[in-house]
Amino acid sequence: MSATIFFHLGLIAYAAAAVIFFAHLAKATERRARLAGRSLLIGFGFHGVAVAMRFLEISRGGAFRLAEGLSFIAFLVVGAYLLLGRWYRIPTIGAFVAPLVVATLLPAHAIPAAEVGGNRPFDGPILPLHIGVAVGGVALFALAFVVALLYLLLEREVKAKKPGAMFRRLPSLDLLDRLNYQLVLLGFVMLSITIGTGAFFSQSETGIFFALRSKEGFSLLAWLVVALVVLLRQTIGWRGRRVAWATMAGFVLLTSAFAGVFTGVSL
Amino acid sequence: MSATSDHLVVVGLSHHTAPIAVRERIAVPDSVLEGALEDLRGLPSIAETVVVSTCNRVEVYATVRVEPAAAGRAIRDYLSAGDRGIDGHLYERHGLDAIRHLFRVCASLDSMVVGEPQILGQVKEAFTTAEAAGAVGGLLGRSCRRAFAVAKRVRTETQVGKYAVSMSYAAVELAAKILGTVEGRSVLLVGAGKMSALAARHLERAGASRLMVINRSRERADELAREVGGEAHPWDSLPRCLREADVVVCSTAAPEPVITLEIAHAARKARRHRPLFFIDLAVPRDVDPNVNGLDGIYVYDVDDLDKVIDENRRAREEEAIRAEAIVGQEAGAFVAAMRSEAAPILRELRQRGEAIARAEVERTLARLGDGLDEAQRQGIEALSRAILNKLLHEPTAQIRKAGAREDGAMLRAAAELFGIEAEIAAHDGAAPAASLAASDAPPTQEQGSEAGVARRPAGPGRPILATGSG
Repeated sequence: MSATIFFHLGLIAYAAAAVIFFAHLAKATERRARLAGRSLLIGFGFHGVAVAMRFLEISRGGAFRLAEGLSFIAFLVVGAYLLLGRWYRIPTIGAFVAPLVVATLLPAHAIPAAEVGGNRPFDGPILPLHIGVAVGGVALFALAFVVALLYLLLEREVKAKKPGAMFRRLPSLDLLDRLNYQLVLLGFVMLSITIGTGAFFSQSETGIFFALRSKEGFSLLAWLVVALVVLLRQTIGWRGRRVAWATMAGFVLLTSAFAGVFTGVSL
Repeated sequence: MSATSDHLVVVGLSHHTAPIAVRERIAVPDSVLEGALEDLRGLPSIAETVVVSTCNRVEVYATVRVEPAAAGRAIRDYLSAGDRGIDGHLYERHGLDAIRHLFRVCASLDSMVVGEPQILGQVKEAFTTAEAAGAVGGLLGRSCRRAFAVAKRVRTETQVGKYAVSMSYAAVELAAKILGTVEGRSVLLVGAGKMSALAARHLERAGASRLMVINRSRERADELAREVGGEAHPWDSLPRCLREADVVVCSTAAPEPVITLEIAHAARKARRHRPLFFIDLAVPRDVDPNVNGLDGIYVYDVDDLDKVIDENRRAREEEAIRAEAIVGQEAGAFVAAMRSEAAPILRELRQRGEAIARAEVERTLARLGDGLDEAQRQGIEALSRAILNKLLHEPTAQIRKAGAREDGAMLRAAAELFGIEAEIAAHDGAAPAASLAASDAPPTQEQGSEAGVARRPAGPGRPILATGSG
């Protein structure tokens, strides 16, 4: 059986999860939350098989395409969300994660042609490490993006003194803020490793330590933004609204960097 | 006569039907509750009873031996003691309506503040008292226990009790939403108003670990600190207190804001941006409204809290609609389940056995003619009864157990074995949702015997059937 079938099955289960999560958002019941979670888990299983099969193909010399990259990120985002569920049960995050994943996978499927420039089989440990950590970092930032967005929505309701949908469905501002920062911190470590291995890889391949193409540029920008957030948090205790905005900006920059991997546009 | 849910009656009045002036006239204080239970059980029409008396309602729940309307009249007369002014405020419900009323009351759908949690505890307490006084038997006991389970279901499946509808609770809820938890947090009272003491107590009950009091008059600060179990601080230590507190309750009589934008700014910096929640209960306001614009600082004044409460009340009303649906469904299922189950089988089995025994005794007595004296006649009758009781003892116990665990196959088998299929089928039709009810009910006495059992609980050695249809 080809990976595509598993991919499709996974996509269907994700879509179902997204619909149920939205139903849960409209009217929260324990049953819906459970059903949505299970649907997501089933999708994750199918998706996992598809990812593993594609990974085998690539390691045998297949092309690493944009579709794979997005699919892998989506896979990790779902995995991270499911893992998160072990400590924090926040179905409302699922209501944002599931559609995000579907939205990521759909175009990935529509434009499968884009390939990583100069592509060659994985040789040596650096490239797989680089790609794995990069993709994992993006996945963490995607999740942090959702948490930051929810923080801002809830914060707006509390400030406006109109407890509404978010107020009733989300945990406290404090928890969202801490969760966001933890994700960002972990993502920051992975981003640093990505840039480090990338530079090393670039030098060994092309002789240039740091070529300022769009992927390097956006990655570096994202790294700087996140580094600033981490620095200010540690020194003067920065948190809340600004950290949420910075997180979202960091994710957008990373997405741009990721797009650059496949387009290879120079700045 | 056998007791079914048709024999459940409630008579009472509540804040819906009677003003406080009437409610206080018939309220039953705890000290005389047992007396009231005794009086009611003294009424020939009453088999079991529970009396619920709170500041918002006085209600008598009862299972009755006669026509519900007649028993209802007797309870009305007891409650109003002939006072026509009270009688007009009383409501009366029978059967399914009474069950639904009981379920609604326990689920806090009939409360003045819909969803408030106290009422369930109050009914439970009334039930315990009645049980201890021996006033509750199978039917009413089972109805009450089911009502408690339904109340729990409503609480978990709807959010009818979730949203705070009093100012203090709203403040605690907001603090938890901002800070994650109130537990272990520090509270600062600025000014020594009465309202702030109340809010402080709520925060403390929610787990706040430290209470600081600051006031322009040190004397009043000391006094309030003693009252709420906090520590008093001099007025000029405000900046330091703001640095340490997580929730600040303001209630000074100052004409100008005490917490200005500058003070808040400085506090935020000193706090390293840890979130800070101001509850401003003062009018005119103590906290400059612009402070709410600062990142990480949240200010709610009296009007804001009022708005939150209004919003919450609306949300509760929406949830109450869902809760009503659950209660309606549960009440219907409960009544249907009461009608199905083991009771009719046992009743039929018993009646047949008695009919056979009676017929055989009569035949024997006729054959023996006048050769027997009265004592011998009674001896033969007693013998037949004893054989019947011993013979039916085990099957009765098993059928009752099957009914309690809703073992439909066993019940059908029993009915078939004794050839009483037709009668049971008639009951089955009325119980589509039988399995929903009685899931938490312990094995009860045969429905038909409740009236008797309620007054004199079966002793350990007594054949269960001996109390039947008595």
